[in-house]
Amino acid sequence: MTHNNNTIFPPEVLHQIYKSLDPKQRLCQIPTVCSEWNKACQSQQLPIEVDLSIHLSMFERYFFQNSVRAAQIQLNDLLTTISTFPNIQKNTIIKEQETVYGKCKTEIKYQPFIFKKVRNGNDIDIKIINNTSFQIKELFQERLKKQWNILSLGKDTPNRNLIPIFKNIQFYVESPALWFDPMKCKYFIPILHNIFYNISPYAPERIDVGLISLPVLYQIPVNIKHLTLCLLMRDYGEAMKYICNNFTQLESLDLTIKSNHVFTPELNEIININKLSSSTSSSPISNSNSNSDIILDKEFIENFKNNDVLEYMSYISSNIDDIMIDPKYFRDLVKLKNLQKFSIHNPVRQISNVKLMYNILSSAKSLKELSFSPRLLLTRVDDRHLISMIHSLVKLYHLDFENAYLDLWKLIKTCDNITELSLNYTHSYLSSLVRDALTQNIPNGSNNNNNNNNININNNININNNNNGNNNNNITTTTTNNNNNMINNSNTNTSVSLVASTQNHESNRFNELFHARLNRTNIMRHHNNNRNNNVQNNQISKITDDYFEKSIQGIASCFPNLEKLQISWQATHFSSVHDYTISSQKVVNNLVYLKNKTKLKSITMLYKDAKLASKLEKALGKDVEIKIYQ
Amino acid sequence: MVKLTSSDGQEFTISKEVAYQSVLLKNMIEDVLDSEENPIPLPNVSGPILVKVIEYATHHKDDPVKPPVDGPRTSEIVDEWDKEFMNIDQGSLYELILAANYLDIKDLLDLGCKTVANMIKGKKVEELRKLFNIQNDFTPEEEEQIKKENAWCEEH
Repeated sequence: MTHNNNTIFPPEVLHQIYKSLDPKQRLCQIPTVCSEWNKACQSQQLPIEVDLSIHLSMFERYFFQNSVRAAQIQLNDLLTTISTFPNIQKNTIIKEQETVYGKCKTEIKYQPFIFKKVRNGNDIDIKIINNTSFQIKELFQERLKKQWNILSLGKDTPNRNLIPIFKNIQFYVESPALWFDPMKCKYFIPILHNIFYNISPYAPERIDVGLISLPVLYQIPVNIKHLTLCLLMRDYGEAMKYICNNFTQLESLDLTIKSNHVFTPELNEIININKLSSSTSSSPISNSNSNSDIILDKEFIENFKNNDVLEYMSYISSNIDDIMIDPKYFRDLVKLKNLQKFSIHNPVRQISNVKLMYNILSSAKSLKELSFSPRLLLTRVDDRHLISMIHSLVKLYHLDFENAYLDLWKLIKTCDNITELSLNYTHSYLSSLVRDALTQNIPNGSNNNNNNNNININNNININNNNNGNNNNNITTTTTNNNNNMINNSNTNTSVSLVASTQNHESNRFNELFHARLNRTNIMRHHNNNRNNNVQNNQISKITDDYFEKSIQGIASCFPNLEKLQISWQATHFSSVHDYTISSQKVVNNLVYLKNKTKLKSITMLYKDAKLASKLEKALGKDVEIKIYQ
Repeated sequence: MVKLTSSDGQEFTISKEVAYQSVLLKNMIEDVLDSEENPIPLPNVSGPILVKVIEYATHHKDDPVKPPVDGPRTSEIVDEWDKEFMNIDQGSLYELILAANYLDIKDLLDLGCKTVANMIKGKKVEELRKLFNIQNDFTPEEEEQIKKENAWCEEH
């Protein structure tokens, strides 16, 4: 008699062994081996990958607009596949495949109170139905099983233990104001808690929440890998501290910071008066049964009988004037040891101390992708720190720049790690570039004043204005120093006055900019009056072509391992007659040069002539992917 | 120091640091104050297997705490030492897995299960029965029925 091993492992060990097997083997072969293995297979959890959208609203109107009934789960897509999905990470080897048993998209629509219109004689009453005991877990399981049944053509056993793994979770709300009005927030927080902690034993991989308040942030499972969120100015400091000290497995953080005044004044008043209670604002809510604590109070019902209350929840466009981000709140970023991607939106000109920001980011050594949106606005004042940061982050492979000036490529030493480069050249920047170049070509007599300017631009100039970008023609400062002469600017539209201060690097930069601006105005006037358009157009083309060529040469020398290049060259603008399009031959020649000097595999470019794509294809060969957008 | 006695009466003395990798031993040591004097009996673990367990626990005693796994695992064994450590005969492998399960040493159990999963991968039913010395305890009708139930999956 042979000794058999049928029962050598208890079910919990068999479960663990099966976890690593591919679905087909686990579902088709293992159950047939013996009855013990069959039993273990039947009782095991089968993970389903789920993309989840959460729609939350106080009013049905929102759901009607989206053509779905309230408080319902819709599984949109079928579980179309039983397969394994490779877990691909950029710039690393492809990891062995993870075992999942299908994937689907799911929506949860939740409304805490359903307002039902009921006829009462000649009147219509609004009956309010409390929906806060919404059994989300059960409903979710039921739907998941139905979909599994469809997938298995109704042939699989009906009692599979299906477990969702949330890959992506996205929040949708009728207004982010829901999260900031404590009266409403309290109805939704328990639902979020249920979704995050009671449906799946696994942490979601990626969450995109939009604009949220701190109590919502505290609900997010801390072991997620990717977080996209938007915060108010008043919250971001505390939020960053919380994120950096708790989200230890975070691999990407995409942050937008908005003004505190994004809501209508009425709501702002509510937010300010009813600060969220300390229990919700300072610590995560852990009571999953808090639905039962919700009591409908009369005042609340009266308020919400009228759906027009919705109006005061309006979310208005962000006022960016009052945003000044303090980099000190990002110091803890270094604690996120796995952080590979950090994006911050609308930030650079709103960061109080860009140098400090760059220094902080320099210490986040795990960073591979760094995005500022708009892209890295290059201010020459801070470029030293920017470049130091680039060279510090040895894993960084992706860079975005806006209006990269030629000197930048000289300042950046060879960077072997950069494989992706995204460049944006704005029309206004190209205009200033052309003006500067023309200035240098003008006979001396026409701009003598600019070299021996009647402004005494000596050592004592400083800018006391945040809006001093290159393209701003209205620099307004104040003159306080007797040693400074008032600027004779009668020939220009530029109004400038100066403030005395000690000489610094910034003031010198300002002087240069100021000279250039005065010159430009004179030069352009000179050109408009004295030269015909054709001559000027030829000159402009030459300037832009030359600039493009030098930029590409600079890029080639800086990034020998470059694989992917995106260029948005905004040659035209609706408010301008000037066209700064580079000749297609020039583009082709330069990109061929770039390909020869680097490892270029992909080019994406904004260009007005679609034929450029075929020309590039011919010149670069088929191993370079080319996308041209008009 | 902690004393352990295996099922075949062998006695082992190990440091608390090593013993604490087992949740079972940790709980027992905390409950029994004089574990240095009175050996802890481990009736489900033989001497040779306990030697392997101690070798594993000693090697990994300084490992940082691993974060929880957020999803299904892969069967890939990354650590070279672990790979070499699991290069043992099949009988010992089973006993080691059962010992890890009994002693509640999560990482060792995980390692053992991955090793078995790698043995299973790509093999057909008959090959699996032979490899693991498993008797087919289904009647022909039952086996046919199970195959039929799972046929939908084969089609994918």
